[in-house]
Amino acid sequence: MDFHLTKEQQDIQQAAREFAAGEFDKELALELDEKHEFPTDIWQKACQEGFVGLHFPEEYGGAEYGVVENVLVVEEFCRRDSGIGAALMLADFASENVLRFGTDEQKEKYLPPVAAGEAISAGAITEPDHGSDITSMNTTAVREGDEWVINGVKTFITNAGLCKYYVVICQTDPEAGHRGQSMILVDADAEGIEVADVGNKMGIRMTATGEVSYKDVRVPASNLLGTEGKGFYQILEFFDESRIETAAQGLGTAQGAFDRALEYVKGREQFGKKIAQFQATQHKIADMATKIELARLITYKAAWNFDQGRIDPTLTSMAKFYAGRTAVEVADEAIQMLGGYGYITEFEVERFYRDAKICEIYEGTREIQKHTIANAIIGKLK
Amino acid sequence: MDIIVCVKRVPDVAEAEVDIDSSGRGIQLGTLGYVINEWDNFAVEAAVSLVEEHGGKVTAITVGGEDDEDVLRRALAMGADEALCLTDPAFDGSDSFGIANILSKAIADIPYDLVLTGAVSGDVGGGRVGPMLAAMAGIPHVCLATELSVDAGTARVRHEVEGGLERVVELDLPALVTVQTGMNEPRYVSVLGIRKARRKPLTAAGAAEIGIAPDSVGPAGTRVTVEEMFLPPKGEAAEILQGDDEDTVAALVERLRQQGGV
Amino acid sequence: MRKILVLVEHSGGVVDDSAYELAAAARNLGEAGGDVSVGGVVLGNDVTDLAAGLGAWFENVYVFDSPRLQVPDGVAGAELLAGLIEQEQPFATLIPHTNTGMDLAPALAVRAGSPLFADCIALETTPDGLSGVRTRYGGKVHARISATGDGGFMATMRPGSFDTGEAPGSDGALHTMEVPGDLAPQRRFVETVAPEPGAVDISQAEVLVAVGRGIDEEEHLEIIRSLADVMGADIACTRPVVDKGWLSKSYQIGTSGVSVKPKVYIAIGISGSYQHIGGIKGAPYIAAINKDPAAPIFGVADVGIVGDLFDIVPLLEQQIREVKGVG
Repeated sequence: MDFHLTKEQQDIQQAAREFAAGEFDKELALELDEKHEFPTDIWQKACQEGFVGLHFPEEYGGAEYGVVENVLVVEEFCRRDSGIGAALMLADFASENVLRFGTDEQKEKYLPPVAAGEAISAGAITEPDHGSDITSMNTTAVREGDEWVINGVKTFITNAGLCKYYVVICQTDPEAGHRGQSMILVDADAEGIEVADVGNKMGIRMTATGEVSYKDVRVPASNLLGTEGKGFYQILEFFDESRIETAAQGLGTAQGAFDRALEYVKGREQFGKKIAQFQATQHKIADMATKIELARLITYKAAWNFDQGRIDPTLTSMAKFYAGRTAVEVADEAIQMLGGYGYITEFEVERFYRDAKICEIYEGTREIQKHTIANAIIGKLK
Repeated sequence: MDIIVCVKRVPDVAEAEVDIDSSGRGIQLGTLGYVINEWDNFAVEAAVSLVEEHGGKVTAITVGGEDDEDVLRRALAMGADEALCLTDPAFDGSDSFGIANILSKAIADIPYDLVLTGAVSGDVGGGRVGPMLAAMAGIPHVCLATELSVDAGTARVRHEVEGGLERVVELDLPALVTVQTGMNEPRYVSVLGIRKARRKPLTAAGAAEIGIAPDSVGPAGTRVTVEEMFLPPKGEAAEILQGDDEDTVAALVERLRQQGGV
Repeated sequence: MRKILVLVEHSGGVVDDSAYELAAAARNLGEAGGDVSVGGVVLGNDVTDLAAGLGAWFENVYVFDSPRLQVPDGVAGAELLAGLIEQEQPFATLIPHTNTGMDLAPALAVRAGSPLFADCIALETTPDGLSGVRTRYGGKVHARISATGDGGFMATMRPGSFDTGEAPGSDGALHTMEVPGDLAPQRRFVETVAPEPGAVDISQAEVLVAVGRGIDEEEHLEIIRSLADVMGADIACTRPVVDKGWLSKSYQIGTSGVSVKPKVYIAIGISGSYQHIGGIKGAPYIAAINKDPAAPIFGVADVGIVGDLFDIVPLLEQQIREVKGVG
């Protein structure tokens, strides 16, 4: 057993830390958060330095690293700034489906622009009537000659309006339930697509979230991603990877909130003592640090396991559930420790709190994760 | 154009409180992180960009143990071509003279046109190793460079002198230049750079390999010994104003008034 | 009697204070309280008169006067001083820890085979050699350093750390030393460059509000400017702020920047490296604001607030406005 990162992984962690320290700007973050704007300049620089799509093969602009390295980058980015970090992490969202299931032609077309900072990707899964339950979809894709014709509405779509393409889960066989679903690549400029913003959000405000409607959208038959009828299984496999990244987002967000709270209590005096000298504060610090360390262990383990070529949805769900919960709890406690200052934007922890909450909602809610965990443990009851 | 750049890993004390360790001759390193010496980072950038401009090879060198290889991998990821870690139990505890001595023996076997070092280090900070190394290698040097260009066997260097002035000098190559912060804008370590670094040679060499007598370095070769370290004496220190921010600021304003500052 | 050599730094025909400080420090290096003979060494062009004027401070003055030495050159200087040390066999050679001194001293130590004490803020003889104190880790720690032997020591001495005292009134003999015509030809002087002038000349400012690394971001300079405006002060900065390109070099205080002599000096987010402190002349009233209670700046300041500059500075500005009855 060995709990150490490799030297190369440590180098990547350090590189991500230095990049974030050099480029993430607090004032800019506050402004972008308020205006609901994507950090375009920082995203492009992060792409230039190879932090986006680092798990792609070199021929597609990546560095052939795995989920562990991705997790280290996401953690460092979110630690420095929960909002910018989330926006950068999500910039290549769902492109892994092209990576895992795409043909060489699809990879050639859809991956390099994502790594190069020329394209943002998106996945269109959730529907107004299908959130946690994705076993059947209302969005349909009907084969007409050499084309798929797509109709339906997808909602809560990250990067809607910003992205160059969507990975859309469609019902290609309406009779077959989840065995009748397929993934289809749809370019964002295809005719018949309309995007409506969901409106102001609590957190991750530097990413766009929208409702995307597809009305008689026609794409070539060759845009089928993976196997027809296997879309549901592909998306579950994708979630196994993406949920680990969400865990890393929670982990980094928790650490970032903790860093700020720690600095505050070591500096601030009340009743003639540093706040950090009060036992009530010390116990908080101990609790927070322990939770973060646990979140880190399970997140790294899940990432390592995935990179070993093993799929373990239980472990992935545990990581996402625990790290997401930790982010919310630690950020909440951080606000408490800063008292009145914690409630003020300038001190950032309230933003970390707002950004933390999504980790318990998207990519499967906390309840869905627990459902997955419990089902695996209990097994089929007779 | 072949460049040797000497780098060093230092504890990051910029925002940390520093305490003396139990030996009394060092500081407690426990929770401190390590970083590349700030000046050395500018030296690496200078080396890599000069070789990008003129062709050639950058070799990064450090003296230390396995952990110190971090800074070499960092230099490789920034674009250095090769790295050499001078490591030997005999080297431990060397003073500046000893470090310069080790480096001078190591570079004697490497072809080079230019040697770059950081002007000083963040831990010791005497600024000695660079110019000592130049004297041992028998090459000219200049310290505290803020600009550096190379043309036809000559380095043109702008460097800091007293009173805010700078001076431009030319050095016949091979030469050694110590680099001041702000000379350039060091690039980030990129992910692809880290991956490429994996395939670049990083070798280690000890006393025998570089041909240095073990008793001429380390404690045996040390010319100036650290007897003890201690925290700066208080007493002469400032009057630290107490109270909450309103109170301390009010007290400060009063003192500034008395002194004619307000 | 022990011989000590002191390198005399000078510019524009004026001897630097460090020469007198080092001459005084040298007199404390006698054997068990015994006398010393202190020799001053002057390198330069057309400096014989300047050297001759140093007789009251030194028993001997050695002058290397040559057009080749018009500007200080560490390579050439090390070569000349190595010859003099060989000839005089001093117990110690003292050199100011300045940019010019540090261009020369390490190379000289190698040539002369001397143990080199760098950046000393104290220096004394011991029964078996020499002992000094210097700072480490950016001034957060002091170190006592030592070397043993009968002589041949070398030390660079931090300017401003040693009292000048009175000239002992010696009647120093002037020795004109030979400068070889082909001295260190591999290094050639091209030109001297002055920094581009800033909007104001901070060297003449009465009240200075200076800012350092702690300001974090360029936009934050606004709160410093705003405070300075209210105080009628000028702003200045430390090296990291210039390195980031947030202020031009003409605002930089320090041994590599501008020397200032204000009445009141407010150091904000400045740790207080000696390179910075070295640029503050005279004896201004120094107020420091820093979140690190161990910052060396509090060792030289008269008054300090340990706190976050982003809390303190706006409050300070507000209170000064109230006091002055403005805004």
